[in-house]
Amino acid sequence: MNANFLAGLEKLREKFLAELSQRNASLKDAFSRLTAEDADENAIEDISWIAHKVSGSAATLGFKELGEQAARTERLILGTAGSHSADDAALRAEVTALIRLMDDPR
Amino acid sequence: MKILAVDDDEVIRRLMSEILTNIGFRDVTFAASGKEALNILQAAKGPFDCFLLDIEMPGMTGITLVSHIRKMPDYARTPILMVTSMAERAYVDSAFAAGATDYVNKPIDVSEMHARLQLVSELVSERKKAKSERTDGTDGATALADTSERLHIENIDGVIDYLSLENYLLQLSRLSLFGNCAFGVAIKDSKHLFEGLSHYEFHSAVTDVAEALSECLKPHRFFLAHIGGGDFAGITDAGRQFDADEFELAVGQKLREMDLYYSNGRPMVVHISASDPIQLDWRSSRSSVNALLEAVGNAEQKTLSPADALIEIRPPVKPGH
Repeated sequence: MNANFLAGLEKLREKFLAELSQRNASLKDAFSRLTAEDADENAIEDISWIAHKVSGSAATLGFKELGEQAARTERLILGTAGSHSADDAALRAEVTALIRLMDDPR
Repeated sequence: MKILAVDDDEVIRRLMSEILTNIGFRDVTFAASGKEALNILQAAKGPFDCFLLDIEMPGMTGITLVSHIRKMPDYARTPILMVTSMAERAYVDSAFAAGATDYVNKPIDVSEMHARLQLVSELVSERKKAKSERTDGTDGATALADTSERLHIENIDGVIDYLSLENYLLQLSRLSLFGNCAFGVAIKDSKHLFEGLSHYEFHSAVTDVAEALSECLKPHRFFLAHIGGGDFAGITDAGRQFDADEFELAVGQKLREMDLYYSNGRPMVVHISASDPIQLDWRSSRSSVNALLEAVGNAEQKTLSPADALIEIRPPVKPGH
């Protein structure tokens, strides 16, 4: 791989990280809406969409663990479409793990 | 090679741009949605040679976009690679059924992307060369058929190009091949049956047989491809329920109902042999692709009954004589 390519990837990593904090804020908001007493039905779709976006680019840009966690979260939601509630412990655990990695991507 | 890449994520579009430039593909146009891609295609001065499509996009999914692209005559055979993080079988099946040629998983592996696009580039060059040779020669429809050609058959459920079939099998092997089997079909005495046919007649005859095969496979999930002559290779999730003898009878019945004729009005009597299924359950990806060809070989062997062997040594008879 040539130097221009690596420099280009580095710029993309910076852009990805800048957008990641915005996406994480949206994810935290959606998770709050999902776990609220009067749960928002759209919140699960928002979480799935954010996880999808992160999983698409994170691992390619070198954030392997974050990419895998996002993909796992998305798969869990898609695999059990329509059957999740705020009490679903598995979903809570995956989204919490995703938020933690988005706070501190490695 | 002129590429149109479609992804709603700006980071991915820029990432693709970096990757494609790095591996030598610089003529790339990007679109952020299916709608924008269709507008670009409508306005394009020259045709694109290859498409790279995301699946999960707001508005129009990449799979719907494949269907729209395939309806355009210029793009009926243009390679379409899905570049997606949607790895589940339902997405893979839908993409290939809509007309995708290949399926690349995100995260994007630069070496893998390079290898896949290199193959596509070679295919595009070969097709351009073949097209220019045809243009220089006689009318393609009335010229004698090259019956060894792998035909592109459109608008029949489950019938895809052989390259797509191989790519589908490779993708499926990353998920699970359990319950799937490979099978082959050979038209009996196809050498004489197709002798002297024009390209158009050969294409029509093979398409009719493909339609009969598709109809008889319908209870199961399947993909099927013509691989030249009177041969077809297929994959079905019928697994151990696939009964070659029953399938042959059902296809034979369907072909009789279809009442096929040569263009000179002579009845065309087509009989097929189907191989026994080869279970793919625990096979590797490469071994699964080999199983496809093995199944076709088995079907061809089955056509060589003693009566067929006698036909083999008779001088060829031209249609209409």
